[in-house]
Amino acid sequence: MQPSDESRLIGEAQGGDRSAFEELVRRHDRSVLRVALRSVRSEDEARDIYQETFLRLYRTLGRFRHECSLETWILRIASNVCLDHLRRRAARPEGPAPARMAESGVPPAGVAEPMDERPDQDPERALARREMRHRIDAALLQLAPRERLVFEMRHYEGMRLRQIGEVIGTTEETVKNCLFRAHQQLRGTLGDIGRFRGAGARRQEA
Amino acid sequence: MDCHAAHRTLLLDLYGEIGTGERGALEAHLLTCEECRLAAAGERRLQSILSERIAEEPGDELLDRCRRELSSALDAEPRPPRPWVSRLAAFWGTARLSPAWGVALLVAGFLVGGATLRGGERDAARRRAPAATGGTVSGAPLANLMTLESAPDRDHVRLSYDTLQRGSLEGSADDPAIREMLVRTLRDSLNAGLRLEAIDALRRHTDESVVRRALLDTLRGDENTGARLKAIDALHDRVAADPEVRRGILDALEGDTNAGVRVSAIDALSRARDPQILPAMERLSREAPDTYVRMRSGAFVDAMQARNPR
Repeated sequence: MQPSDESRLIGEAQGGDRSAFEELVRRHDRSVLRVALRSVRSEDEARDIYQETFLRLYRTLGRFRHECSLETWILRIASNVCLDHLRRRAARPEGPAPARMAESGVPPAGVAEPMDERPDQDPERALARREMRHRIDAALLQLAPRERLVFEMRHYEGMRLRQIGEVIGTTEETVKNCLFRAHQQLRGTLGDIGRFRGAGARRQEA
Repeated sequence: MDCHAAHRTLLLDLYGEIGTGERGALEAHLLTCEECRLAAAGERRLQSILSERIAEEPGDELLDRCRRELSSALDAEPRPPRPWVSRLAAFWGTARLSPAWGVALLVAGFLVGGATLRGGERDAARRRAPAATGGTVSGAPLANLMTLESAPDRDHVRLSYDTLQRGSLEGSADDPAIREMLVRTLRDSLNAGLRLEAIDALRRHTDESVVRRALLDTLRGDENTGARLKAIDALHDRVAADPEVRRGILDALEGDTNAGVRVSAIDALSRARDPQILPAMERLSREAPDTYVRMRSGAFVDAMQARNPR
């Protein structure tokens, strides 16, 4: 994508051209939906987040002044909407819904069970991998909303800490602290897997 | 570097987020601290475990659904205010780049200059003034020249133009004048929001062939996805009765670049039981890029074959 091309589209969308706006949506919506699905682990909520994000963008695009990239601006809106959803969900008396999903081991609708491309003919190993993924999901769901968002953006989206700071509206140092806390908690939750894997590997080597 | 700082730094190192100076300090600390070396090994193991969770991608059908829902939600949104910079840029962009504007300004300059220079000849000029249909220029500023047709052999031209004189019409789209204005808006307006409004106003008048043709042209040629989706929606009730409508929607199903439009098209066509579209549906059930379209067209084919077994 050419930046000048995107700048032209932004200008046209700011001028009221809806087809230009929809083209901008198409360029950025997959990453918004991905972040939403990973954050809330629910298709219905992810659809709400998607729509709310782009409606907010539609209403506020006139104020966009190219002080950051449009991608950062959109992800900033999306992360705020995600955090609102996660906080509202945490405040609900029935407790966080996705924890139930993670315990059941069923991925949210709309997200295919991730395809593992690695050649693995051993069904026991495949089952162990699937169980491990479910444990990781459950561990991530126990993180605080902001730490989880930071971790997902850095570890799975591959965003740099500086950009994450721009997206969630904080300093790079705060993002580092969030990431560090997330890792500490994950190490506590998943540490036994690490020890088991390490022991297994040593046994195999022996 | 103390142990706490080392733990933080080795995590950031795994993500490639430290500079060479910090890495040197970390390596120096690890040489002397057994506990931190164990922590570094643990952190690497954790990274490896976390990599077992493969990044999942949202499915295409979910993405298409989100886009359709957004398009509908945008229809209900009031247009956001345009920033003045954008309005100014749009005006200058149009004024500088549009040939129509160039011609309009030339004509306006000619008219104004001629009027000024000729002074006392105004009465004579007025006697030679061209006949204006559909209204009169009557001193209203010329805004835009829309079309210009000339017949040099007869020394005759026909200009159609906009003036900055605002008019208004109010009433039902049953009124032919209003309906004609709506159809013209749908066909000619550069403003997608107005085109979308025009479809809404016309959707109860698809019994008029001129309205159906305008909606079909929108479906085939409008660059705005929302307009194409609305056109299908407006034509929904005509699918069963009108083969031309079915043909137009089938064209959209086979040729539209937007998955949401293709999905709406298959939903609309599935209502019809037209054997003439069976070959196209059979082809789509095998070759359509969207799973949903393949599934629905396959169901259509099955239903038609059950009804008329070969």
